[in-house]
Amino acid sequence: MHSKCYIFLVLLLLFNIKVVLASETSTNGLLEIRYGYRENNTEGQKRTSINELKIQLNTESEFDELVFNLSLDLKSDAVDNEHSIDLNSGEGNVDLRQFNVLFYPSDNIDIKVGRQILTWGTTDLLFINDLFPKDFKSFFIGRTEGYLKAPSDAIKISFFPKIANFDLVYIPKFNADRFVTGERISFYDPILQDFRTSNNPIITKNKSDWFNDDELAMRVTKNIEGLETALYYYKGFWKSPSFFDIESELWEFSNLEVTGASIRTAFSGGIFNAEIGRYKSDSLSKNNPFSRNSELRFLLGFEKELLTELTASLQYYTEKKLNYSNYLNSLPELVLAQPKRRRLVSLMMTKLMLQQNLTLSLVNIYSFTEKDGYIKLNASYKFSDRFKSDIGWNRFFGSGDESNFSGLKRNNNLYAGVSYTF
Amino acid sequence: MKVTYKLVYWLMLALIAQIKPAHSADTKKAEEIMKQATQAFYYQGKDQVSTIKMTIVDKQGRQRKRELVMLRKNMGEGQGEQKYYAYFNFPTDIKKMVFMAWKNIQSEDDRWLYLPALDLVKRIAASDVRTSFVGSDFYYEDVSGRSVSVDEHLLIAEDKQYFTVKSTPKDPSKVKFKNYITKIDKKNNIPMLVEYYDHQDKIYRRYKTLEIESIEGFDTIVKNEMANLLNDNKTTVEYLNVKYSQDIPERIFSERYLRRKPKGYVQ
Repeated sequence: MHSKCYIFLVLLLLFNIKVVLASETSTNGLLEIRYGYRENNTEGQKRTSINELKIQLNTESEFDELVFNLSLDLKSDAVDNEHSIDLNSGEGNVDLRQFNVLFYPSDNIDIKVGRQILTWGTTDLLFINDLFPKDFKSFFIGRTEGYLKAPSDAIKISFFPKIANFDLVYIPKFNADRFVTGERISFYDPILQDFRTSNNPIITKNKSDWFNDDELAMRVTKNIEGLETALYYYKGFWKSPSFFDIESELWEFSNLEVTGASIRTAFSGGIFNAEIGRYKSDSLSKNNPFSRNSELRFLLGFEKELLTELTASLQYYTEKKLNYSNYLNSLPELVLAQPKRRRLVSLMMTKLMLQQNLTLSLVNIYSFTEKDGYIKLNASYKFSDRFKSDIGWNRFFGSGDESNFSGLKRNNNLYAGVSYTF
Repeated sequence: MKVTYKLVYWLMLALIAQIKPAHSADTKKAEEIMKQATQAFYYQGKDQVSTIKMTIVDKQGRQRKRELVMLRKNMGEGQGEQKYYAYFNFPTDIKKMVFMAWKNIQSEDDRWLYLPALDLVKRIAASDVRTSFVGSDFYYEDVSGRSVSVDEHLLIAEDKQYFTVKSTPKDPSKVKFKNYITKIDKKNNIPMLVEYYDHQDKIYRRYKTLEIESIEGFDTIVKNEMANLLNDNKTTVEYLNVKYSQDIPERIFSERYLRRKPKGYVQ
C-alpha cells in the first residue's frame, strides 16, 4: 500500500517537471457523478452497483520530438470504498489510465512507451485478435464506453515501410483483463456450483514476474485501396482466469498463443468485416476440465446506416473447442459439459437525434447455444458543449443460472451519470 | 432516288433539331460554371490546411462550438479523388478525435473515425452523405463537395456580377430537395448564395458566403454559414490560418496519423 502511494507521488512529481519543461502543454479534465442501482436485492452484493464521484485529468505536452500523455482518474465510490489503490485492477481511489511518451526515432518508426490504451482488430465487443485488457466490469455497471478498455503497461513499436505496416507490442509484465471476480459483479461459478459474490470472490494466482510473465502482440496491416487487411499474432496468457488448480484452489492464467487475420471493407453501402483467430491454450492443462480448451474463433460482421442517422451493426460469432474429446474425458461426472461450439449473434443500433445531441443506443448479444444474452440500452444527451448526461439499463437474460450471460442476471441494473468537461 | 435522299436529309435534320433542347447552350455553360464553382470551393491549390471554428446556434439562441484542424489533399489532376483529415480540438469530450475520409469519384467514400479513449479506429458506414457533419447544419456533402455530374444545371440568370444556376438532381430519390439555385460571383467563381427548394418550391436551406480573402493568390472563403429554415438553426464557420500547397504527404491520411497527430500540420 505504502509503496504504491510513493509510486503515485513520484508520478505526480514527474508530471509536474514535465509540464514545466514542455514547450506546449494542453490540459483538460472531467468531473463526473455516476449512480447505478440493481433491479434485485441479493445476498453478498450491495443494492447500489456504482456510486462514484470522479475527476479525470488529461494532459498532453510536447517537448521537441517527444509527446507526453497523462490521463488520471481520482475517484471515490461508496460501493467499493475499502479497496486500496491498485493500478492494475483500477480499484481504489486512483486509476492511472495513461502515462506514456511517444517519439519518432526515424521517419518510419513510432514508439510509445508506458501506460497506454491499446486496441486493434475489426470486431465490436466479441473480441478475437484484440488481446489487450478489457474491463467488462465497468461496461456492465454503466461506466462510459471508453472504460471498456483497460490500460496496458507496454512498449509499442510501429514500423511503416512501403510494403505494409508492422506493429509490435511488448508487455514486460502480464496485464490481465479487469475481469469479474464476484466483487461488485457476481456470477455463477460452475465449479463451486454456486454464485461468487463479494463474500467469496475468486482468488487468482498473480502473474507478476517481470520479463517472465510477459506478453507479445504483433500485427501486420495493409490498406489496399480501402480494403483493410491484417494478420495478428499473440503470445502470452488468457486475459481472464482460465485454469482452476484443484489442489491450491486458486484460479490461474494459463499460456495462450493466438494467430489470426481480418479484413474490413466498404460493401453494398455498408461496412463488411471478417475476423478469424486460432487460440492455442497451454497443453499442460489438457487433462484438467477446469482449464480453457484450444479454440477456433470466427466472426462475420456488417454495419449499415439504415435510415438517416440510424446505424445498425450485426455480428455473427462462433467459437469451437479444438480438443473437445480431451475436455469430455476429463470432466467429472456431476459437472455439466459445455458445448463444443458456441454461436452468438450481436446487434447494435445507434440513433442520433436533435442535432446529434441525443444518442440512443442498443447493444444486444444473444447466444444460440446457451439461449441467453445481454441487452444494454443507453440514452445520452449533451445539454451543452460541457454538460452531458446519460442513463441506461444493463440486463442479462436466459433460463437457469449456469451459462455465461444468465449467470450474471443478479447484476441487472439501471444507471445514470452527469459529467462536466473543463 | 434523289428525292429519297433529300427526304432522308430533311428527316435527319428534323430529328437532330428534336433531340437538341432549345437551351442546350445554357445547360453546357451552366455545367461549366458549376465545375468552376466546385473548383473554387473544394479544389483550390494542391492541398489546404485550415483551422475551422464552427458556431451552431439553435432557435433558442443556445450555442455549441466545434474546433478542428482540417487537411485536404487533391489526389490527381482536375476534380478527382481527394483525401480529408479532421482533427478535433473542441468540445473537450471529443478532443483528439479524428475524422478521415478518402473521397472517391466512382464509388462511395471511405471514412474512418478515431476514438482516442478506446484507441479505436472505426470504419464509418454512412451511406447517406446528406446528414449533419458533427451536429452542424452543414452536411457531410457540403464539406466534401457534391459532384457536378449528379445534377442537371441550367443558367437561369446572368448580370454583370453573378451567374445564377438552377440545379436539379438526376436521381431525385437520393435527396430531399427538388432543386437548388446557386449564385456565383463571376470574378472568382465562388458560390455566394445557395438556396435549396423543397417539393412545394419553398426554400428550406440557405448557404451564404460571408467573407472572402485572397490567400496565396487564391480567393478563399474565410467565413460562411448554413441556415436550416425548418428549425431556425444556423451554423457559422470561420476558416483561420488557411494555407495552400503545404506538400502534405499522402501518408498523413492513414491509420498511423489517426493515432498520432501530424506535427507541423496540426497544432
